[in-house]
Amino acid sequence: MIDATHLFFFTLTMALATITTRAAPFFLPAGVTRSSFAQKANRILPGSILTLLVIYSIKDTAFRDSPYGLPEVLSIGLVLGIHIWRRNALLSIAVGTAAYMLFKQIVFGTFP
Amino acid sequence: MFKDVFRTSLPVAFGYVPLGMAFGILLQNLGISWYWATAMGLFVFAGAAQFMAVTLLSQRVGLAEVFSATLLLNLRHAFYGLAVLDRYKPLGFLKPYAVFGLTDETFSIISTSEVRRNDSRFILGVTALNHGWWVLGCTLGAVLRTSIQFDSTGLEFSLTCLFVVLLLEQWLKFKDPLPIILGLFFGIASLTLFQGKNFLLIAIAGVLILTPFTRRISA
Repeated sequence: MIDATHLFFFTLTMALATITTRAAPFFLPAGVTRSSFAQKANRILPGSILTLLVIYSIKDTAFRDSPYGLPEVLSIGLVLGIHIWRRNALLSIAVGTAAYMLFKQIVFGTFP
Repeated sequence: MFKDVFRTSLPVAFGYVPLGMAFGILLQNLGISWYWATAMGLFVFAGAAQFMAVTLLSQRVGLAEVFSATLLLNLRHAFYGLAVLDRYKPLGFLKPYAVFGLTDETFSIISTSEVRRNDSRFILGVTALNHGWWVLGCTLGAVLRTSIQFDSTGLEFSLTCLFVVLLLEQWLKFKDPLPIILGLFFGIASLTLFQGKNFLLIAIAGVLILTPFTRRISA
């Protein structure tokens, strides 16, 4: 159980960080946001962080034990395929999640 | 005027309400009160960051890491404002609100729409209505999850799916392998060398250290 104090400061922290990024160009001199480092960071960071979040969200998977991360790998493959096919984010997420739940609860759920 | 704002904002509703609901359901899975989903929708108002919040909350990540990860994940927003600086000037005392609500979707609408007769009211209207759709979605999801009980084993995988989809979109748009390579390298390094402690902070620091050299690495 997460206590309310932590949730309050968590929400506040996240709100401050979001406002900071959105308000930055209105306060910072144009030289900062147009600097070569900022441009490079803008090119690299979103993709890197999303890659890190994918890793982070499946890092507790036991790839060495049965079912060897098969639900994760199969579902991610399915998400990629469906998304390239239809380019509909909600559809891809819904199908991927449903497939994973099916794998976890029924297909691989019966094996020890 | 309102009809104009509503018609412009409606496609956003079809994206925000279901996605907000997905967020509400996931946050609710942590076993906290439903109104935290409302509060986050109201005060954070950032899709990817709020989904990341579910992961960060479940892993009890420290606030410094929460701040830096959110800041860097939303870094692209720091470039949006540049494109609308002049158009946002006449907004007056409500300008801070419009800046706060400058999400991907609001930005894409404002920056591609022509300047109207009541431009300030149009901008504020679209921002507020989009914000409303998002808060509605977050709240609906959380309330729904409280009232419907089901076996939610594996539901948290929707976060992985969302991150995979966002990453694939980045790839399709820019066809740039370097961010992914750096993310994989420092992600795996952070996991193996530091056992996943302060995972994001360490890995992002690694990526940032190499960032100034990126021009030379990839032609």
